Amino acid sequence: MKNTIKATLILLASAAMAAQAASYNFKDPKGVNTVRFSLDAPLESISGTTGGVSGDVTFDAAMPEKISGKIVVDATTLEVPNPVMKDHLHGDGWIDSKKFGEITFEITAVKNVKKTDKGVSADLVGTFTLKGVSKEITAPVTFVHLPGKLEARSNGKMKGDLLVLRSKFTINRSDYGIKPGQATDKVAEEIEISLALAGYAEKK
Amino acid sequence: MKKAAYIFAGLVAIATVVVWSTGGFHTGWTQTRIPVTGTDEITGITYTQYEDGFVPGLDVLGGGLIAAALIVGATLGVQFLKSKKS
Repeated sequence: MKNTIKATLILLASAAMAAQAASYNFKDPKGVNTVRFSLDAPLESISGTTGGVSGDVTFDAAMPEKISGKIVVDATTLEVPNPVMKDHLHGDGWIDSKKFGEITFEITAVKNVKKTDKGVSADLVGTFTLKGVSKEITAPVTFVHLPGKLEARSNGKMKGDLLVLRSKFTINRSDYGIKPGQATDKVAEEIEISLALAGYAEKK
Repeated sequence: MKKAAYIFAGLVAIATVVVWSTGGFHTGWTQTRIPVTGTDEITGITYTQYEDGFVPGLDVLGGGLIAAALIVGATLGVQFLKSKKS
């Protein structure tokens, strides 16, 4: 009898905890989700952004170590201020966005989870795919869970929670077959990527 | 004729510098998409959006000054050929 009660209580607790996990959609209806990239070579500094962000991340504020999901960037939306540089960037010699239209990061593991007064910080291990090449990388990320803030952000159209995700990490363009070892005086090997994204989980 | 060409070259050079200055003496490449930053009040995210615009860069400055130099060079060249003939 006691064992049955215990088992039932454990089941109920698990169900309650599982219910707090929600899927956050990162296709921002306000269109302000931005990923920035910058390259600093001896002769030239390049910086640009992209707003074509989408993807879904499952997050439970009570168990942040269980986070999973994938962020997708539409490669055709990468923007730099100079039109000639933009043409080169999207061309087949560089990121070839017509052929490889998506840049993705899919979470495979979570490490070093820490809860702070500013949110949750963790190292996300995942598969980063650029120009059709996938590599495992580790990105330090901070999460801020904003329960109930979706209504204010959507001008009352939706109710639910927000999840703000911030990260900064670097990749080497050679690792992804982007003109390896070439033009390094004007286009740096290291690409610094920084992102601040807001995802929403609607509650109906 | 020679004087007019030099004056024209001078005007091209001055106009180039004036055009370049309207963009705040931008030392990068010419921009036709201007980044504009804003902050989302709910999430605190600072975002960048682009607006159409024109900020002349060093390529415009260089091109204009080279054009002025070519005018001066061409004028000197014509003078040299004329003096050789006579």
